[in-house]
Amino acid sequence: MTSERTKPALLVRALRKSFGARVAVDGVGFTIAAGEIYGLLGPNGAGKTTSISMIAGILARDAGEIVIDGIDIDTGPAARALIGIVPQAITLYLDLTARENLDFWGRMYDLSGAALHDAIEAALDAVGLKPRADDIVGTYSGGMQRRLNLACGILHRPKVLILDEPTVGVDPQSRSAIFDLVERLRDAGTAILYTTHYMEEAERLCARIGIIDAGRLIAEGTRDELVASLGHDARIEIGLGRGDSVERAAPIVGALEGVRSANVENGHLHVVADDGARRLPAMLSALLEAGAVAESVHVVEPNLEDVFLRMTGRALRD
Amino acid sequence: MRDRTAIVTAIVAPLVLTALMGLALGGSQGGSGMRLCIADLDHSKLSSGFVDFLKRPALGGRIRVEAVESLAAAEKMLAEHRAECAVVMSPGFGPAIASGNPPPAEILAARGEQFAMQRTSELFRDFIYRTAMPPERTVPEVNPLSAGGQMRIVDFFAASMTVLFLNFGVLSGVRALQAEVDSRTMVRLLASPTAPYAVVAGKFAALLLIGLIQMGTMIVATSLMFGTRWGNPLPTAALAFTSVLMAIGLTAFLMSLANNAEQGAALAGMVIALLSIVGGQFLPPQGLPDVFETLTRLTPNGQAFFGFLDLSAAGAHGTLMTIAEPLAVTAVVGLSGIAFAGLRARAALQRMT
Repeated sequence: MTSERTKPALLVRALRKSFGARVAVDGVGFTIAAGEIYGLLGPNGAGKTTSISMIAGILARDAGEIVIDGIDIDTGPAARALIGIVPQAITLYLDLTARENLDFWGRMYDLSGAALHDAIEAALDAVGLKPRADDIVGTYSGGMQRRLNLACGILHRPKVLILDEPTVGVDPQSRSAIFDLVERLRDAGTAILYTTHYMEEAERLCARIGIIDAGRLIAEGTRDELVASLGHDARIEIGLGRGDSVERAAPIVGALEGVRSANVENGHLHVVADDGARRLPAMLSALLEAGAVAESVHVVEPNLEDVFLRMTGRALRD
Repeated sequence: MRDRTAIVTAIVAPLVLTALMGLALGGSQGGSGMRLCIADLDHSKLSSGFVDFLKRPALGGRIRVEAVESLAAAEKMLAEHRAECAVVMSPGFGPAIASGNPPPAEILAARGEQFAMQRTSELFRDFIYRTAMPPERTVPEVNPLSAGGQMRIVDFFAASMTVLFLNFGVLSGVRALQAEVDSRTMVRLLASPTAPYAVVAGKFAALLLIGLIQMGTMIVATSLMFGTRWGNPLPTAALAFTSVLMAIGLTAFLMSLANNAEQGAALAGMVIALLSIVGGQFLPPQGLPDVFETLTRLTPNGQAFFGFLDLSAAGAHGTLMTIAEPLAVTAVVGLSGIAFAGLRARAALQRMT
């Protein structure tokens, strides 16, 4: 029996969508709790947008289940009213003011009268646009437009907020303001589905991350769980002194126990080794015996980028 | 109403152009502009009846007639631009009409007064038609450019500019709608709790309202400013409605053929301009070879335009039947274009999700 406390704000189960013979989404499923940020990462064409469109109720699914705060998405308006969506595109009316844009979007979400007025003021406050609220949006910077784009999505205080690349092309100040707002929304109990191409955003904001590729959810977990799934491999970059034979160093290190690979790139020796930090003294000794002096050593711990690369064969920005 | 360009396109430009065209070609100031010189060399009852015909109350005193005694005197008046046109009725005029033969008469125009010449020709033909008719057929069939001589240049341009700029006015609304599709704003709208059909219906209603406001404003403004007679209100309103449908369908169809709003607007602008030329909104096809009149009737905007002219000419006698063809054509073109564009927009939205 599911209690009210454990009921997920968003439940997605066995989602499937095909376009002709092409399967765009194949069995995707995950849950997001209230007050949780879930990152959905995947290369272009992986099925992120199709999944989001089905969750938002824009696109009909072939199979699967989507439940928003206990209400099936097929209920229609009642379920959609619980979702806030902030698309990657700026979906604002540039010849209207920020306040007029918010008024319009608020009405689309059945807000009116004092409730609408209060919601507009709160949203303007939240994104820091109150001083410019009555300016034409076409005069805003890209970052301000993106903040307003976000404000339009949170106006009706949704239970589930879908943020599709919310920081694309924004200045550092606006990006920081968006991060702060997303964290405040999370703290206020909003369940957030967050897609991004910026790994550092996912690492900073997302409690759990799902990696989607070719329409399937191929990995899911916390950042640490996903990184741990790579094993204890570490990347070590060794800078060698001038005159040393880099070509000679690579096979020497590559022959050591626990070393998976040793390659030369831009005058540096790049080594991937099992339990790399423990193998480092042996590597340095071997280099010294061969007459090569290590001038710098950099041990790179695996991160989400490595996880993504390992699992999809592509970098996140591909 | 924030978009000033749209207001200029929809209201200001057609009014200014109507006024300018009317002033340039004559007849915009209550029809007092045309000065006609009559040389009655026949001195028959029929020839002198033409002067009475021109002075009848239905023409509202808009034709100023001056009689001269000879062809030379008429030519002198035209050369000195003291008259736009001259009608010379030679001896034998009356008997020729009475016997059903072509009357010996000549219509002359001052330099650059082709429109006045055409108008005079229409009046003259109308006079002969009425005079030669048996008494029981006193109400002739409606001919938009004659109709008892009541059609003025400014009336012509009021209708032509209204239809022309209706397309451009509606185009700005359709373009904005396409921009909403391009920018995915429409996708976001469809994600709201507002029912999709309500979103679509709201957008369509907005376009319809834009067109109807534009039509209404033009009809009222030209009536007040230029004394334009649009005809019987009920059929005029019906044709205004289907003309707006036609403008929405036409521009939406053209917009849907392009990849984005900018391309669509450029394409639609070109096609509207071309259709306006073929549709007779710049020059009346009656003055051109017959093929032009046929082409005019093949264009939806031409149908709307000549529908309004027919209603104007018919005055209080105009009914829905008077404009049955324009009503049907504009409605069918409008609804077909809207349906086609709707299907294309739906496919585009599906591709975006």
